[in-house]
Amino acid sequence: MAAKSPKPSSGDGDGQAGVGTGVEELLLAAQERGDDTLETGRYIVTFREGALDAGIAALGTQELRVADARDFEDQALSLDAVGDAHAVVFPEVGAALVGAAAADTLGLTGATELAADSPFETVEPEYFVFADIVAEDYLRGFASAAQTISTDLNRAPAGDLVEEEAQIQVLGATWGLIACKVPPSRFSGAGIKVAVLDTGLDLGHPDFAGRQITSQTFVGQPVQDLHSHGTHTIGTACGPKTPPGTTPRYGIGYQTHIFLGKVLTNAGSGATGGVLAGMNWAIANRCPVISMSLGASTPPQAAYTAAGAQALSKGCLIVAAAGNSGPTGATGAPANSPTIMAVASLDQDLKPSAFSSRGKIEIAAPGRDVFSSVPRPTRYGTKSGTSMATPHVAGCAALWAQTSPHLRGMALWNKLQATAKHLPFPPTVVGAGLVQAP
Amino acid sequence: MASNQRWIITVSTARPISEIAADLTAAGLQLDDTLDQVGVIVGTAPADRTDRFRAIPGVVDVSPETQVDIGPPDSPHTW
Repeated sequence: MAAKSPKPSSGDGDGQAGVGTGVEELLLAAQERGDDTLETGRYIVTFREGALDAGIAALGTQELRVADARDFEDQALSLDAVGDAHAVVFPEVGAALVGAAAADTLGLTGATELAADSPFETVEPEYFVFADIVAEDYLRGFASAAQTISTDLNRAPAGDLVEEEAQIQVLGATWGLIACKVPPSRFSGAGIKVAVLDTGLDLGHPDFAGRQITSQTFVGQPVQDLHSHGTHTIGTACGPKTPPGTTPRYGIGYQTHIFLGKVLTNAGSGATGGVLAGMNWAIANRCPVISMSLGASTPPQAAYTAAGAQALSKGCLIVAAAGNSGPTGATGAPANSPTIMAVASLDQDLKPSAFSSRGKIEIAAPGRDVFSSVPRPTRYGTKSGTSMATPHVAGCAALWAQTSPHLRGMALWNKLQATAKHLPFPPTVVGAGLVQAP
Repeated sequence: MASNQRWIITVSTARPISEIAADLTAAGLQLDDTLDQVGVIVGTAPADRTDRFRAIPGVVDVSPETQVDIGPPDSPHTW
């Protein structure tokens, strides 16, 4: 099938290293590595604007062979037709797929710090993609293989295992933060703007004293939260590291810059025009994370889909609550738009919450009995819903965004899914699994 | 004549949103909001005008505004 150069490559040698290696071979190689990250071993690099030619030239150094989609009719390039090429460039999308050997030669890994003058914008691992049912069985097989290898070697593997987790006991944090591995994280979300589009915030709540807050109302009422929903979701995403007294830690991005958009009234209602205006404001302010614990049981709406696409193109990730319509209810809007990350809810036993909607789900997070801030004089309270799961994802996204300026938009989306803890439930229920802090 | 209602009009980024907004206004839309970052125009008009809106270059979708409701204050269960 090697249409371009039928001769086997020399140098780094075998076909395993070329970019045209088949998916089955990649899977076998991953299993042999005991690698449960779902990484294929190949890398996706994107080029900086205007740096396409420089990028291709950089890939072609050190005698590496680069295939170009433009050399194929209608740019319809099939990976089994690139022969022994080390990398394949897709000029229309400004990206290239780099084989394992070439990535090694060029020193490109997901952790690569790119120089300011590099022609590459991002370097991310390529991940396996599976149809729903296959993924579930595959992951289960993979998890059990990893467990076996780990037992054989008598050591903890790179991934998460149940025994390992049982030993993590963090006092003074909510079950949700512990499940998301927030307390051991060294990140705080410092410098990351997090927009929460909701019913507002109790601006006088002592847990938010001294915090950097930018606020705007889109419903004609002051942003002061007289409902409680917004104060609760902001608490989870952005609340303090050490609340007073014996109150457990319930907030994730404790040094984030809070963008508080009131798009729902104190009665808890709003309309798409105001919600979209809030999204517009958050994107205009280039908030890398936009959290939306709201929705309606409608099919996907064109405006939300467009807004999500615009957000991603400007480095902003929108996460939204799937909804509480239960096992027979489909994900609502805006979470059902393909450009918006849908969040499902988990119970404390890490099983899907009975109320959590199903269908288009990207990721799951704690949503049952979530303890967080509510307006004074009550100050703290417990709520349940995918609304409560969503700010767990937003908070963790802010921590990830702090780890690298390249983790924005789709790259941040991919990172959240790639690092999620796999759960033994279908992707239509929990997506990639339980969100994890870096 | 149909009564006025709010419309969420999704537009293409291929054409300046200000031009599309001007055409919509000329076609009978009362402009309420131009959201350039998300590519959406919000306005008010009778339902019988929407075919005219859809014919304007750059207009991708015209949908009635919908409501969002997360439930009453202090509810332990939400959206």
